[in-house]
Amino acid sequence: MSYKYGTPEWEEAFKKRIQERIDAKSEPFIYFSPEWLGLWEKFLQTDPKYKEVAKDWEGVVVLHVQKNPDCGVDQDMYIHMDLWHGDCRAIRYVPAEVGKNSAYVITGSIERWVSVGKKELDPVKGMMQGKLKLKGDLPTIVRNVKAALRLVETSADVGGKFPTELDPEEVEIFRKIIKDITKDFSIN
Amino acid sequence: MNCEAGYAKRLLEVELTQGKIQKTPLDETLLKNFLGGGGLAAKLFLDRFSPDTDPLSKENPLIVMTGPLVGTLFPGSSRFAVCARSPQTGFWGIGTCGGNFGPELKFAGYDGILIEGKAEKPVYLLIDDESVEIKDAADLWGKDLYEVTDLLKQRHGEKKKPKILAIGPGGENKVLYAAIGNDNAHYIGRTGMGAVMGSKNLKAIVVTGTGKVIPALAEEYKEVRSRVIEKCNSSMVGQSMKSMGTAAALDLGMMTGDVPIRNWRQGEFEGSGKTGGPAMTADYLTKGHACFACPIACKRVVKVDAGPYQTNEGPGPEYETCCTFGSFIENNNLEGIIKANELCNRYGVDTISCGSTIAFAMECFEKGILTTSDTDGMELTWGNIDVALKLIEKIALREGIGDLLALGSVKAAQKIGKGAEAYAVAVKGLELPAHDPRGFHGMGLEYAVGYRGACHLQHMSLYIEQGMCTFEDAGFKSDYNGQSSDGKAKMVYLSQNLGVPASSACLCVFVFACLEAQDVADMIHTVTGRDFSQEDLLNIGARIWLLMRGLTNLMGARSNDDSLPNNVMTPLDNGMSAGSKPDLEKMLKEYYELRGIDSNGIPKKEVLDNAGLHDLAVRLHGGA
Repeated sequence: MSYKYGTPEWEEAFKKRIQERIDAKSEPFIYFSPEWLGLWEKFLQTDPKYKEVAKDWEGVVVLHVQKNPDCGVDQDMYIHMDLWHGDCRAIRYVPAEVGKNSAYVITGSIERWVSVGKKELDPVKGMMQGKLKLKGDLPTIVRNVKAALRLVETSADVGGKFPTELDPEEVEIFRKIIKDITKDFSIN
Repeated sequence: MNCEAGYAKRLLEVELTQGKIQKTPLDETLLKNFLGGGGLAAKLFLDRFSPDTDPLSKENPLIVMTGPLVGTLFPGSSRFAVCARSPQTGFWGIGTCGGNFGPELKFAGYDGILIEGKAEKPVYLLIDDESVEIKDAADLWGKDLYEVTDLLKQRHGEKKKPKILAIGPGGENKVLYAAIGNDNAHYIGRTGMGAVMGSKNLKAIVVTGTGKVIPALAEEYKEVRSRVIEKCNSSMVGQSMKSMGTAAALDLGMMTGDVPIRNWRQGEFEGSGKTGGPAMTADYLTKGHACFACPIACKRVVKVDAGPYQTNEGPGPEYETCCTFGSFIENNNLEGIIKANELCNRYGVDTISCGSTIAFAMECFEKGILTTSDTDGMELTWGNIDVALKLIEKIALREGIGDLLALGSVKAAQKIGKGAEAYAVAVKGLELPAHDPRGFHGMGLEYAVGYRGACHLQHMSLYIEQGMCTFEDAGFKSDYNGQSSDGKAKMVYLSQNLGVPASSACLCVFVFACLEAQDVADMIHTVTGRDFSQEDLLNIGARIWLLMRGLTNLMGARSNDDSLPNNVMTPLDNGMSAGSKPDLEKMLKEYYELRGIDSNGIPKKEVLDNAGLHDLAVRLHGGA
């Protein structure tokens, strides 16, 4: 069965699915996979540095990862981060319509996001150079740029194999993981 | 008179001593080789004037020059240059500015104005298309820049909307870093061009014009213009400038070690979040304001409603001013900065050199080099914005300690002695703008070799090294590590060759930062109708850079002037660039090699010859 986005059942089942995947310690552990999202959420929830620099931040940030079938991502992913005054309340995949309409949306190809994850691309430079596109109130972002940078730092610290570096078999595994969660949780 | 293919092809020449006015044609080859702006002004200076002239004498010309893009509807096409030998540095002086004056001068049918001599008494110049008059300014002398601009607009604005260039008391009193203002909101601040104007008893220039600037290739021009506007609108640089003004860079700069603090002695400043673009936008912005034909509109209009720093609605501080009257003196009161900006504007002094010189004085006071007996009883303590505001007035009016500080930090330090020179933060006599070479080593090299002294505008290094744009199509790497000196000589060399011609074509750097090099070549091509490639852009850039560098050499600069000041070459203990120090020796060696500069700091004869600057080569190296 698939859960309807926005319902308590959806939320409950999503958390359960992520925890199961974390507990299973399945390999490969892939950047942007559900278990990776779950670990990033936990990391941020216990990170004192993030709590400090993000104390004034309120609102949702969405990382929009553009599709790349060669990496196993057949449709755009919207990673929805519910952030409130230093707390990371939740990180979820969300349907495109929800993701696109969020207050702050940062869009990039999967290669760009991998560059950010590898710390090869500074996200602020990436946005200035148009390699990542930002939608949202710029003065608020600039005021909280330390929080944005800490988010990125922690994403790199979670680890995981990058989707651009998977072998063909792993690409298919990742494709299935994303496909299943997309179907089960009505994320399209 | 219309300007066909980007140029009026004539120069307005005004000789103030005898009151002579003439309109002289500009040679097509000259326009082709030097484009306009600072490049063309430098060529005119080289051909006709002595580099030994006393900067404040009637022999020093003041050259106002536009470029081919000025007056078109391309974004960023509002700019113009004002040049002379600088009274502040003794070297080639150039200040550039946006606004509306440049386009209006083109509409009147002139590419530039060359002003010589000195009027016997205060005058202003009134240009109304073909009609040019030298008018009595007795009633205007002594008025501040806002007052005189408003008054002249009222006086000559019954039927038309004149555009004004004017000086305030700072220029009249020959403060060595006096500015010239355009319509209150735009300033030629650097290198003291306001003092040169004041030395000629020229209070203002009023211009109205009814012509147009007609691009040679109308259809291609439209296509390029649409592309360029789209890039400005979609670029994050453009968007951040539009929403927060240039001061957006302050909050970001604190993250990268770009922002100088406490006369360049510290790396951390608690107040930075209170004095940048977001804070100004949230609390004081009344509206944005654009230069001619610009979709970005980075200018701020602000107002402080009440309190000790109350201001009328007016031009807001730029990034540089937020730093020089903020972090430079450890002041975190943005209202005080807005007030300081208004005072500098009204008096007509450069906010960078003024704030820097005050920061220098504060460090001298801290070190006991200056005491209250030198400072008219004032305690020049860090963070004291009230003292800074008093100092602005004293400097502009040259009263008490202000008379000393009106010389700028380098000349003031020489007069003070007692080791004060160590705390002046300037290159070739020009105070550094607010970008720290310890955070961005390439900027250190850029400052050191700059023909006008420490410069942040006549090149693209600032934007490239900070990653705001990449220009990979012009040979740059996609990413530079700010706190490394590796590869910076080439970056600076290329960025000058790219930035200088854009500046001479009179394109705004903020717009350029939203574009690619090919776009600029296309803009010049469609306006002038000439074949103009990216390679042409870089070649002309090299020629103009060498010309201006050569002028500065003729005025006495040598390799020992290509240096960085003590405070900047001392690593910081804290902040984002703690421990970092530019390897200037290495970068200079590599840069001299690339540029073809000899050990005396002078471009080699064959390099000048190859760039088409034979006359300059002869004057620098002899021979025929």
